[in-house]
Amino acid sequence: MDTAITVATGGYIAFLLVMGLIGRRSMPRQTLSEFYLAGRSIGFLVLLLTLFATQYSGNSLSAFPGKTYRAGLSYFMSVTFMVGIIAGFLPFVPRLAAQARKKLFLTPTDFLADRFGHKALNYLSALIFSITLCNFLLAQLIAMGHAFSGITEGRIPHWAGVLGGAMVILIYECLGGMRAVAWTDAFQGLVLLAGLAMVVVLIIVEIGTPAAIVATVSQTAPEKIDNPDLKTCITWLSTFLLLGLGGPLYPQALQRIYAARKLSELRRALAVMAVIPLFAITTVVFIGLTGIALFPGLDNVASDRVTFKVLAHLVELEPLASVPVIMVMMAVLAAIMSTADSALLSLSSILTKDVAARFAGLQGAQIERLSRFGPLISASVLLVLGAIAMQPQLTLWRLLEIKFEILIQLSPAFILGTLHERNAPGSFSARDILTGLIVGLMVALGLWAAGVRSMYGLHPGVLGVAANYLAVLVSRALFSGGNQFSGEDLSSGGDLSTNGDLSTTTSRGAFAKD
Amino acid sequence: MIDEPRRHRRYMVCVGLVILATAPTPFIGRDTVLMMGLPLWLWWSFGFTAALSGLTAYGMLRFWRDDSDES
Repeated sequence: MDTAITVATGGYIAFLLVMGLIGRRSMPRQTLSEFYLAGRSIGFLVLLLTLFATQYSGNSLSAFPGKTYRAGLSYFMSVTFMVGIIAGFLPFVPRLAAQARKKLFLTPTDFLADRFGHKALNYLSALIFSITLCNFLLAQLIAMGHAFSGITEGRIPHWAGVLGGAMVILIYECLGGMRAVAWTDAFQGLVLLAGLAMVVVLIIVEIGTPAAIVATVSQTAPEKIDNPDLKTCITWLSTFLLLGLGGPLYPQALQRIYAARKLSELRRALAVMAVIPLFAITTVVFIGLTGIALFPGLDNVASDRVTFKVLAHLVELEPLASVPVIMVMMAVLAAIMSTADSALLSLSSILTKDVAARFAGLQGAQIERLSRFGPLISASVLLVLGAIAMQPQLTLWRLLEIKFEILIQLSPAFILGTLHERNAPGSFSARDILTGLIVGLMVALGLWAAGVRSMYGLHPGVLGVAANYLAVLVSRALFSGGNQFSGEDLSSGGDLSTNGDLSTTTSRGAFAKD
Repeated sequence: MIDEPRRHRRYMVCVGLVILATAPTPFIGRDTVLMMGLPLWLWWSFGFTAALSGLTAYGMLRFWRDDSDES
């Protein structure tokens, strides 16, 4: 078993590095668009699998079973909110995707810059995206440490897992950019789907059916399967809002929308993605429930490793299960690494294009030259976050929640921003959106800083976004001519004059007529 | 010309109602009843989550149209 795990892990890592090299050779030219969006050439199958592998992360396979272990069967809400993330694309993605194709957006902030043309809003949104991506990447690095440590039963210590995994990701990403990331994601997505299917079969054959496991849990911890109470139901809907509004704003997800070859392929990929949680996340909840039945009494951090405990138990019961278990372990590793590489690439693009280029006031070809610094930025980010991840103090779930509390505050900018053309009568102005964003952040972060994690089951971020939308509406009512306000216009500094494609100039008139 | 799901109000209202129904609120304060070995509230939530999943996929495919699609 030990040798097989070592061979499988080594083979998997070698495959990732080869994909990096192939991605490098397939890049026709070194532009930001080629490096960060694969030249906008990703077709249906790779798009579906990269969306899947990116959305299903270390959080899904380590934190969700851990949360199910702690909360009980009521955490079936995770299936609902993972569907909600895809449903959350419905209000704004058709227009965003159309604009991204027309104006060749590279980062999510490019849309806001084009639609609102306001420097403070651009910097604030880039800051929010960067913080959430750092948080997301940190969670993946911690999960990667858990994964290597769990798979090898502690022979590879947590810190070495973090360090080694981060180096592998850095190498193949720097070589092949988005192409390497998308191709490895596609492979990782397939491994993940196969792994989840196998774990369901293994648990049912070796431990018991869901009904049998529920029967065991009802004897040892009946509160874990009880009907949810009112507060749990409110939390259910609040979490749905938190992830349904925040999840679609993952920068790495938005950049995959930009990178789609055709809108028809993007639509089909998102339609399939809406169905996948019914299988994938139900399986994940099932693993957590099995953990309750098998290993009562785990603490918070130990419960984040319940997936590995269940897998190790399966091998103890049936040595022949080691082959599928190894595949499942590779799937867990794949889920973590595929999300980490996507977050890192996205963070690198934002720091390069939205922060460095705009701060330095670069234009045109000068921005393109920054693509050379992408790998350096990625390495610096990994160095800092890797050092933090080696000493994890937070549970993975807590990291996930903090991220969404602030990311969700950008929801009005995208949902309301795609309602109208820029400067159209009745459109929301930069002032409206910025006012709402500041109010929302103050409420969410204020409550968080005051130690409030939930108010009658509602998350601080959800209360913040409610205040955010309200403030936007009040601002528009008070300043009905506000759509003329553009603050410090982008034309005065670093701007959207290129979006990774040297030949393209972004029009300043925002949306073209339908 | 772009068509998008949010322009179809009846569809969006339907999505909103299904979202509300995914939380098992009708079971609050009642004893847990099992159906085929699993809590009844779980079947309820799974059913509405599946409905939301289907509605989302339908909205993507049926109501999202863009004339520049194949460009």
